[in-house]
Amino acid sequence: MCARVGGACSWVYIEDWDTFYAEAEKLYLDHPAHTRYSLKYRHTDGKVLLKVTNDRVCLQYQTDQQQDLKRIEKLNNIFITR
Amino acid sequence: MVLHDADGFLTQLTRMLERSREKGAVYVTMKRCAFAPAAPAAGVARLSPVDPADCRCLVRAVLGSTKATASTMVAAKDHRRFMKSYANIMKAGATA
Repeated sequence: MCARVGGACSWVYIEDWDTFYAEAEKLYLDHPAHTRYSLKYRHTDGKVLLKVTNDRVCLQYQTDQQQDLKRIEKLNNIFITR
Repeated sequence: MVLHDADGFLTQLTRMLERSREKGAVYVTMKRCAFAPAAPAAGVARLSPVDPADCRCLVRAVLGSTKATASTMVAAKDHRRFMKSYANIMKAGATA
């Protein structure tokens, strides 16, 4: 899992979407009852922040790209349909 | 926390996205709930294996600036319709 630590801040984001998606799917399939998926959208910044966590492992991804909306839909489907 | 039906929740979500345009953020959280609401809780330490068709997903939306909340439980059979509407709302809210 590639991660970038941003200076003094403790937030760690996964930079590559495919890695984030694969890890998020794996986390959910391993712990479906304990994993939750949060999305934070700020229109003023145009940013979307995704977090998938089971309270032990936390995966985060942020984006401001329009094309990532489709990918986010794919991720949504994991949680709703499985 | 107000529990809505799927359509009511989507209406609330649309309103929250409109209200967050100038300031604030909208948080949407999804988590699977593998229990029936009417099931008795007393003495049940572990849930027995649940049929995937019974699983529901709790979806919550919070408007950061006003702390307004909305939630809904999406049943497995409704998820396709809900996801279509949800995706449309997010696309409209994120692109306009």
